[in-house]
Amino acid sequence: MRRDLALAALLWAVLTGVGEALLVAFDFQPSALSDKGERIKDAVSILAYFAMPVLALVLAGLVYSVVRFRGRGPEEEGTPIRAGIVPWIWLGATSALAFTIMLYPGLWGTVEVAKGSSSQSLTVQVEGLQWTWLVHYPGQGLKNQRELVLPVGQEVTIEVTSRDVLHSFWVPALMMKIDAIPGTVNRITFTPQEADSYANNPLLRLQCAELCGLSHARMVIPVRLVEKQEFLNWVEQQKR
Amino acid sequence: MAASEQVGLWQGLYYVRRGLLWGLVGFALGTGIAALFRVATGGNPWWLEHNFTVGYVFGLIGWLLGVGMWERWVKEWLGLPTQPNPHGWMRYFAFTTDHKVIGVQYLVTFLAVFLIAGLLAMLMRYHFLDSGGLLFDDGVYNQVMSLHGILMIAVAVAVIIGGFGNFLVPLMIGARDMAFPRLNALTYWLIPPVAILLFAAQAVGGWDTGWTAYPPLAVRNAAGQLFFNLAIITFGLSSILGGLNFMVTISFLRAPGMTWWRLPIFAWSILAASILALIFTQAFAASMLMEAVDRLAGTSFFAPPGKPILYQHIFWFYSHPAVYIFIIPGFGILLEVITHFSRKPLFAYRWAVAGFLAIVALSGLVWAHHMFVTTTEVALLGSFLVTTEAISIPTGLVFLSALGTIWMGRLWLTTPMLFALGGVFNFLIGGITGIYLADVPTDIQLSDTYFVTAHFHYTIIGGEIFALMAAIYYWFPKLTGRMYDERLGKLHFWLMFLGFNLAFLPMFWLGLHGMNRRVAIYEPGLEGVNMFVSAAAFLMGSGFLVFLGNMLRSWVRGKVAGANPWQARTLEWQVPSPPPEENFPAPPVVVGDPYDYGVAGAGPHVVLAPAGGREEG
Ligand code: HEM
Ligand SMILES: [Cu+2]
Ligand SMILES: [Cu+2]
Repeated sequence: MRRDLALAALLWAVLTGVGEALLVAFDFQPSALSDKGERIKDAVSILAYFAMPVLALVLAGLVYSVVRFRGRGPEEEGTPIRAGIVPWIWLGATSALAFTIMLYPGLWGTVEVAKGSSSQSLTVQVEGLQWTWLVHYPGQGLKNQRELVLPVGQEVTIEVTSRDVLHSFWVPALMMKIDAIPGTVNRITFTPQEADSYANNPLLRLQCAELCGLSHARMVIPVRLVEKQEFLNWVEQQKR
Repeated sequence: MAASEQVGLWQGLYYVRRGLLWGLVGFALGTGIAALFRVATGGNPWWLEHNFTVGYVFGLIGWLLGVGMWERWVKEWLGLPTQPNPHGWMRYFAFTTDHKVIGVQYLVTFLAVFLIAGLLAMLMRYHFLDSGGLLFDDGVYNQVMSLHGILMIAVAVAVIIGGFGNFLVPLMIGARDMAFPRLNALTYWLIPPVAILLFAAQAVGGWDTGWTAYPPLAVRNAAGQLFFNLAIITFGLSSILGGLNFMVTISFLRAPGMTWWRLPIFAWSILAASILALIFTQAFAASMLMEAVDRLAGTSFFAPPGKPILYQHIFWFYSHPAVYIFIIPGFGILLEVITHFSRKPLFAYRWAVAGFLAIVALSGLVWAHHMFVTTTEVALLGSFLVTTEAISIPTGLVFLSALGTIWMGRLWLTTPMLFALGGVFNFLIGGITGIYLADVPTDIQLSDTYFVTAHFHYTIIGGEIFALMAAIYYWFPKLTGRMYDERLGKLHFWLMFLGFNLAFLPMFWLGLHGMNRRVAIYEPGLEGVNMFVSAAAFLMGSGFLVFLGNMLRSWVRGKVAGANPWQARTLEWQVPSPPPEENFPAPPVVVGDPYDYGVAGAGPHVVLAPAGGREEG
């Protein structure tokens, strides 16, 4: 029993080590192009670091037992073991883990990501309707654009609503999503980080993420992140 | 009974035929009444959705009476003599009160639904071999996806509780039947109209709102949506009544000596799921009803100026607990099978039970984790994050019990045991990825992507359906009296285990890389991974051909199994296979723990009195 425990623990340690090393070595996510998106991307990685020992523990227990504790039929019986304090330890450890991730990245990240706008925010209104998006720039006097153009390094607040059914504003590369609900305006605030465009990065698209009927899958318009000056030029151009 | 065994096909299907006929008559009657009402109030008599709704209600009643509720229940209310259950194979096609017959009815029905919905999944995966879609146009894709979803949800709700719950719980607790046998029959016979509605809906354009039916879309789409709502209300009624029946049965019909702490873990899991079904399904039915009324009568609970988000609160108030209705019986099976095949007592049994009950208690407090992107209100986001992640703690106790049981056991790796161990592994992945969807920041990116699709298939297929397969192989000899083919069983396991993991693991990656769910087309850059996923899904699908072949062949020609081929201690194995109609010749007396394998000096779990023994003594 001692020896079995030691060997299984070793297996657990090895699996955890290998798993964590893989997580460090390979970035399994695309890059995030907004400040809050970077937070979210970090949260995904942090949760993976926390998850690895749990995954490895159960895997080690299963694999070790299947290899070592085989029987060939009902005549061979196992060795009953008393639970003793093991369940208490288990309860304590799993609770500690759960409460830790609730606080970080959980609640901490929630507050970060839900942070509202400051006075410098550029307001952009996005309206969903079956099956496209309309983008308005009230401060710039631009309406009904079919492309979402945002200046890099500038905090923006998107006001999202819908004309008909539920839709959801989602730009995968920004890692920002919020539902478009008729009769309600939802606001999200973030700062784009890097100039890029849909033509180059398929994740830079404003895609509907809530099933909205027939052409839901095609409810996409391109997104372009540009330098501030270029943004101003674009506004001028559109006005003409 | 030899004569009734030989009834012809036509005659044997008498009750089903009569049910269909009376159902049609009822439907015509209801439609007519609605039309007359319209004429009387000076309107167009063919107001289709309204006529249909009234027709459906009358048709449902006609169907139920026709399949035999008339002879076996309603006549009694009218002071007329009732008739006993039919015999032979005919009883499987009639309103019959034997819990074992009802269990088989449920199991076979839902396995058929499962295979049909699985076929739809294969079509969807074929469609995705090309990023532009190979098979369906947008509308048909939405329709097929929605149908696959709701059929599978129905399977997940009812196949274990309705099938194995009915067949096994009375046997396991030493009861003669369920507490309310006629109510039990009613819960089953409400199911065929649900299936008929869902398939018939396809003829009028289906519905395109998935299985979640969010308004306002669900108030303004094709008429198929109304069929969906009526079907779900009917199905909900069946679940509520079933939940009530199991709660009463397990609480009051346990054999002498079957104390709570001697109750097999599977019976505990059914009790826990029944509590959920009884309490929460009502919210589901209410949301469907309110939505239907918005559509039919112009109320505006959810349609503007009502609140579409209100629907989601009511809907998920049921539908999150519902996922525990799926999985807790799955846990029950996993632990049950693991302990019998580890030949060792169930480790931390009371802790596992406490885990089930804590999940039941918490599950009503987590619904809004499905709504993290509907709002930026931190109070809502934060509190539901905390309650949801807290559920991982009682769930962890189930893993403790499973791991502690196999530790130092003598694992007998039969097909059911392989499925049970595979289920533990799969559900672990499902559970860990669930944390990503409970964590608000990560869910903002991952909600409504293939990450979610992968997550819930891991919990439902990986956890529950693997448990279902373990149960089918484990109890096959009890249900049929025959043994399945072990080699084909193992082949099925490996095809399904590998196919499943290879198909669904890459979907997490797809979600992280921007593939949203419920889409008929996707970004061309993701085509390679999607082709791989489809190929693996076909591999998994082929496993079910092996399964089906094995089951059908073994049912007819398998070698005779005997009462207790696994030498298991629990009660259901102490009676002949298949069990006689009266279950036990005399009430059994429970004298020990159900899982004391390898315990020095442990007596049996149960003493079966011979027929008439108790009366004499
Ligand atoms: C080989 C097996 C299966 C495959 C390949 C498969 C595949 C799929 C696919 C491609 C979708 C559509 C995803 C989308 O467009 O968002 C889907 C949705 C779904 N599947 Fe499956 N599936 C399988 C088995 C199951 C099982 C066993 C269940 C439950 C018991 C299930 C439950 C669901 C549900 C609830 C949906 C969601 C429908 C909606 O979004 O409203 N599936 N599945
Ligand atoms: Cu949409
Ligand atoms: Cu949920």
